[in-house]
Amino acid sequence: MNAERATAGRATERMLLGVDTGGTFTDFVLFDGKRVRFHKELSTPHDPCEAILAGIGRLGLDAGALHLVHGSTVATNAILERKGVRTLFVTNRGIEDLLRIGRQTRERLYDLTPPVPEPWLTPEDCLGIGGRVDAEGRLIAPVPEDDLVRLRERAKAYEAVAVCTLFSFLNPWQEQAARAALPEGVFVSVSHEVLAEYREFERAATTFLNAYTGPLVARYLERLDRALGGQRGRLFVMHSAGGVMEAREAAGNAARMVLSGPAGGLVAARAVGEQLGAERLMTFDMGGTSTDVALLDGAPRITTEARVAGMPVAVPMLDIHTIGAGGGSIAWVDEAGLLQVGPESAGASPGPACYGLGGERPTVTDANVVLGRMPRDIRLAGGMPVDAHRAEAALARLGARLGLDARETALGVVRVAEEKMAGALRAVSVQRGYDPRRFALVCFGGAGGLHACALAERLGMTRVVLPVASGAFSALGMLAGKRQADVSQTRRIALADPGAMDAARGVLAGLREQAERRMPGLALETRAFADMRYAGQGFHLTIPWADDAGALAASFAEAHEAAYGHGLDAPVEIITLRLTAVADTPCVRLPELPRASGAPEPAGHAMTEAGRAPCYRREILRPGHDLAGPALVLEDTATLWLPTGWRLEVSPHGHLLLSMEGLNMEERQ
Amino acid sequence: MNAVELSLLAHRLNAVCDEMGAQLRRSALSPNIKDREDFSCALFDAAGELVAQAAHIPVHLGSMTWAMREVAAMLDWRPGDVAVFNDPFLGGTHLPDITVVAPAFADGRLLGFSAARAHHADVGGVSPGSMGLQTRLEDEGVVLPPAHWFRAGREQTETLRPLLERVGAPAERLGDLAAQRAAAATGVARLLELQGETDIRAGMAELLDASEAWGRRAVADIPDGVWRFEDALEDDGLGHGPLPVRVAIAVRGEEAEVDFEGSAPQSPGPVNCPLSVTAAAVFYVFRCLMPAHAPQTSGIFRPVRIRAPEGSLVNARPGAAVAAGNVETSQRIVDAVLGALARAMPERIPAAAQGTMNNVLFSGEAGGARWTYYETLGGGMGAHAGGPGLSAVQCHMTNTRNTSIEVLEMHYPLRVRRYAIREGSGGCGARDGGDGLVREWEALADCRVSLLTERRASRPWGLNGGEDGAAGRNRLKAGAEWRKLPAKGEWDMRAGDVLRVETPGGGGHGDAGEAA
Repeated sequence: MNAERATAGRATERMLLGVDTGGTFTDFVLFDGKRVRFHKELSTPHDPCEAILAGIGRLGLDAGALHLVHGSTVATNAILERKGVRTLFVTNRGIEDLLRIGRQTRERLYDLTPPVPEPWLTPEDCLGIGGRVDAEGRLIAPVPEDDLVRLRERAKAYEAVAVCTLFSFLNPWQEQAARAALPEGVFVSVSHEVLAEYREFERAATTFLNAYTGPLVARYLERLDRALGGQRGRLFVMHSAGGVMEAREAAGNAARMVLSGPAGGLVAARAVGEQLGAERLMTFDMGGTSTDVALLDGAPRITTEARVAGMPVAVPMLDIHTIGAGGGSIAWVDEAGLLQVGPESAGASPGPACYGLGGERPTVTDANVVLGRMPRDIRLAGGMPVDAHRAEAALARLGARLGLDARETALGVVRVAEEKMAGALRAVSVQRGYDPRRFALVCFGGAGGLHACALAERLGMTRVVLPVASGAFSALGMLAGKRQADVSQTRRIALADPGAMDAARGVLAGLREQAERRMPGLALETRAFADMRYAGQGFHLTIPWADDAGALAASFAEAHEAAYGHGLDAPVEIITLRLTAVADTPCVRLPELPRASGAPEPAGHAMTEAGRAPCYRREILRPGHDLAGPALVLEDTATLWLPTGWRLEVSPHGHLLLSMEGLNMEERQ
Repeated sequence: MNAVELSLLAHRLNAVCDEMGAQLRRSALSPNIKDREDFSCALFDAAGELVAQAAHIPVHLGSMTWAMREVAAMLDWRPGDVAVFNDPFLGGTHLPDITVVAPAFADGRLLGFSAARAHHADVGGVSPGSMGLQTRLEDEGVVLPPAHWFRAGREQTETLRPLLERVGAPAERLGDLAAQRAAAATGVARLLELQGETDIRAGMAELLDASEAWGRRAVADIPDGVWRFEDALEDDGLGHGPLPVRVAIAVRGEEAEVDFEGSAPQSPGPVNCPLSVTAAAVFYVFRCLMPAHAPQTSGIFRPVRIRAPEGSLVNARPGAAVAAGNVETSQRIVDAVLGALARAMPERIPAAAQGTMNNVLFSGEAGGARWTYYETLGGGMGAHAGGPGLSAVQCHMTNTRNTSIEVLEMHYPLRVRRYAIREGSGGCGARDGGDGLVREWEALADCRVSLLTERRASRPWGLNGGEDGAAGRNRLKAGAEWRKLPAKGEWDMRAGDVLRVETPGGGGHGDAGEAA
């Protein structure tokens, strides 16, 4: 243990590098123990390693002396582009079509002629084996030897095999027998290791995706690891729950990487919140074609109901809600004469009308240009100038159909777009029983600053934060994440049973061992949870573990009442036990900035919807500065619109703190 | 309101329905609501006109559109009221669908209504799951005509007493109903918040007027003329059938009249439809002709009129047995209306889908308590000019999820031995119909099973030279013997017996020769 601490100590002396691979840019955040540096490279989708190594070179770093935490899209892209490896799916005989049937629902309720979705597997890729475990976990029929021989033969044609049999989370014997029969060299995922929880379709899909992407993740990270010198304990990957795992663990946990990059944004938001003493946050990350929102109540919310490309990925993930609306969303008039925004997007090409690349249809970005929220002399990412005339012409054309002028139409487009964003924020707060008025809005990503204050007002929120490094926020998060493992086990335990607590303790002890195996030799801080429900409920609430049946029942009843407004006089049961283990890891510390004296100098002025407004470069804003709206704050890749009625202050670390005027100092804190 | 404000209002009302649905799903007790999502939440204006709905189940959209007008006018409403009903002839569909509705009052005036409808697994019928072969509505379960459950905030315990006394698991019913009430209360609270920002009374009326445009456009796209088709329900489970569903759709410009003259008279068995269910099936088809972004309001259906002879299968008289009207006859009505439209627009309409929901119900006793388990099975969708039909999915009037095998086996003395795509069951064509499903359950204890299924003798029709899909099959293995079961009925199962249901494939489209 001491040796490990020493290693960790040396790691802080080493350079900490966070690298987030995005679709366009690969972002770097470097922390040398004192200062933080940022860097961007163009991504290299054919081999993301290239951009990473180029960046390391450009930053003048010794690749062999880094502690690197990576947000990777390798698993996600393989799923979205259907480019995983050839995978054999093995399950009980009789339910071979499990993944092809899914939940037997159709995606589109009112479509008479839906296209047939591209199948993940052909019938030949699905193999049934005999044997059965029952609902009590008893092996009621063993796997016939012939079936294992056939499995071995069939598997030879595949690079990966996913095994998911019924009730394997209660008794893994059948899956273990299958694994033992497989030839050497084939990549294997078994469901009781990927996700020891009930519901066969969700578990099977997760196991399948794990096998489908695992070999690609393994090859990619091995290549990167070699380039970094190949020493143990140097290369880490952020997983979907916002923790960090060693690269060597990642291949076997590829399904836990689908949110590897976006998770960084939430981890960074949490770190910023800690710095500001704000625990309750909602994040808002608006891009060109989509917007991500999430909620943190102390810790970020976790979901096990996420879907990627229509497939459930039931491992714990940060609960990030994505909607298909962003700066590039196109505004149009529908059949009944109502103004609509999206889901169609102008994308990067032709892009919004103001790009002057041939886009004729007005987008949210064009509306912002017409309203003066993007100064006409600004250059967009890539150095492109804004063509305000084209934006105005596009809005005027749309307005003619609504009986509104270009400016009124632009306001309308912004309001409808903001309603969609507000809907997303409501989905993660109000719909889950949280009151948004108690939360601060953390805004990062390029387009969000133009709408953050309006959204906050719409939801009754009075505080908005634009953190430092908002343009490379996920990469910053890579350096704020801790080594973390999330393990779980389904076991139905009636709380009233005399042996209930002993049974639960036994399961938790097993989970603790599992976590220790994943992070050997590290001092672990563990938190246990129980998924609980009223007996017969098909749904559960996750409750912090208490080593006392009465206390557990009471906190469950309280949580149920709080979330749903009613309780029941019914017996309570545990359905799944969960354990999160966290190890102390070297983390980034943002330095304080020198305080400013005097007022900041505007770089210019813009004519906005609220009249003439000063424009400030963000780089010159320092702690001590205090601005009142209307004003614009410009960065290379982002613009902040501070409307009338809002004030801006700068935190000691450089975060921009926006609050509604009229709040007293206490409320602003 | 201008085009921007109306758009904002429509978004907000939909968001409220989504919130109600999320809340109901999370807090309900029964798998039917939580896992199968057999529920819908909706908002109405003061006259009971539907202004927004989050529908998981198409049969709820049309029937809610129909239901609330009557109910709104029937009761005397006060702030703090909550009403409950399931009467198929007064706002409902079939007895298991129970609706909880609450009025919103602003400035002392009725502003609108918020409603949550959900399928309950037991409403005290003679048969398990209240879905058996009865001949009278009263034997199908407890009929709740619209009445106050809460009056100005005070619970009226008498209202639900007849239901709670007759059901097997009153705590579960009450838990689900409480969840529905909480969802309805959320809808009311949000309506009032909206009204606090801007007057939405006029806005809701304008939204209804504006949405009519979608309906008019959808009808205008259908060539003028009278388009006819006849299909038939196989039987009513009591030996009567086939029961024709005949339709003539008269299209003139932007308006259509859908006339069911010539359809079978109402039947003794439980396959009858109250007019609300027939309307739901017709509206579903017309909704499918509109773009996905069309709003879920009653305004979109204004250009469509429905005529159905009183006392017929598709407009039964109060008191008729209706349990399967909602789940089976509604599918045949869709087939008939689509068949007629296929003559007008062969390029837009698919061949017949499986045409049944394959209702399977098990019940028994364990540890002194009665248990019931209900599921419906997907099948093949019809092929169309653009491609083949989907396989193994819920079609048309339903879209409930399946129950996980592990969840099922953890709760009930049943074991699933087979759950597979029924290869080759889709009708051949230039484009093949989708395949059905096969599912086998082994009873681990003595129990009773009832089936309400269709397309076991007739087959889902192909189109433009495509072949019909395969008919479904029901089989029971007692001892070593497999025997054929009819489409509808109730049987005892002993421990070790196996039930197998094979669901129909969808019809093919185009001559198979073309494909080569």
